[in-house]
Amino acid sequence: MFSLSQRFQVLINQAVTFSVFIIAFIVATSYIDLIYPNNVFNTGVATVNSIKPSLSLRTSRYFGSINSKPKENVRLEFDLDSDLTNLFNWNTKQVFVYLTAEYNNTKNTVINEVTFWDNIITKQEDAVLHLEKAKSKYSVWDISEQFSGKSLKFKLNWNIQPWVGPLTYGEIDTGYELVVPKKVEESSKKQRVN
Amino acid sequence: MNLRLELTKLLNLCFVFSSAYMFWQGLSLVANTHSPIVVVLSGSMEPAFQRGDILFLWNRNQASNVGDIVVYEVDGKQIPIVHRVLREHHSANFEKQYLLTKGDNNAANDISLYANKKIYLNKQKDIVGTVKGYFPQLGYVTIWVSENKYAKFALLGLLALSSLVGGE
Amino acid sequence: MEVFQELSQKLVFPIDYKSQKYIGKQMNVAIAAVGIAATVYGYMTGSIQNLLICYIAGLLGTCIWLVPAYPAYRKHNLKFVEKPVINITTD
Repeated sequence: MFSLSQRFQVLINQAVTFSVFIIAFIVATSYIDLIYPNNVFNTGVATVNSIKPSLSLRTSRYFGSINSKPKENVRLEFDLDSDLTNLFNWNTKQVFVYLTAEYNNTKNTVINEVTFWDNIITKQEDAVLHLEKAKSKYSVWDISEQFSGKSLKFKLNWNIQPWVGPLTYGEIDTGYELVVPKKVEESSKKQRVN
Repeated sequence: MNLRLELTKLLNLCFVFSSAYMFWQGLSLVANTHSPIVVVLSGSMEPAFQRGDILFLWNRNQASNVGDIVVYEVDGKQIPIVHRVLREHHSANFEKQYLLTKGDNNAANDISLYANKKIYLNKQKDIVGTVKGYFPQLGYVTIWVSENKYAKFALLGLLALSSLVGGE
Repeated sequence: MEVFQELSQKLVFPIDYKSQKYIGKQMNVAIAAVGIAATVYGYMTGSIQNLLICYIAGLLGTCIWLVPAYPAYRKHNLKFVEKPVINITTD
């Protein structure tokens, strides 16, 4: 502590050391806030309803087609209700919420999960989701040729992006299942011309 | 000029550099990835990640989940990309996993970024790691140094000055 | 080189063990107090930004209070040392 630069260095060192403790406190309190009093990892509720799939054939590489062979793409219309207010605490920068479907294939890639819709929530006030007749954000195809006939199980997933610390993930089972109908409808067949 | 003193200083400097290098290598051994800590260089994941944020990677998972934020490398491109997994398809024993990714801030998925007209990433081959931890803005110094041509000299000058003045 | 050596001599404070020990102790206490106060304030207001602003402001305050050699920190100078730094040149 005998010179200006040394005194300054000691101050900086101690400040950095103490900030490690502060970060540990932030991470610990935000985790406790997630599991107590309500454990958000298993008390979340999400309901999806009246999912209407619509199939179309696409020939672009950006819609999964290989060598311009027509590929079946599926889009959805759905209702969604969920309250994610509990996911917000003082270390939440944003919540990324996404609706996925799981399905099984018989060959090669047996287990599959695809995202139909997602959203970024940055404010706690916006964390109550109430969607009616919402359109899926993505046009989804499978690795195999067809999407029709597959049985989809829907889940609502969330990911908390913190201000500092580890990323947290969780999922809410909606209990909704849907078998994609077999045929490509006439109306969507016309669409593939353009 | 005391030769012994100067040599001790040099030895100390070597010690600092080698311990930093050992720390880095140890971390990459534990996380099983060649770059366990990365700095975000683009705004494609905003508002989750801004330029200059630091990410901690982990690559000991067998398969990636949908929603995971992964860092992947494309053949022929220098800079790895940090994006979110949109779809995953894997075999029963996790031998093979195909991933489709997308940046939160981008309108479309990443097919146009993949090499050789591929439409999926291969988990075993292309993925550098999964983002597990986050620290904001600390990496901005590296962006500043690499993009501003005077910053490099300013940083070097500052180091030299501090060693000249602070040395005893 | 001459300039730098002169500069480094200027930056060295007069030797005052008692005050320096006191400053070392005070610095520990001050940083802990600032850190705890900032954390509590940030937690109460539910905002990490507030915590960060408080912490940095507190550190700046500590810096101004403890880093320079104010007359109060030079009361117990060692009398027998004439110059704070003695340069020894070896031939």
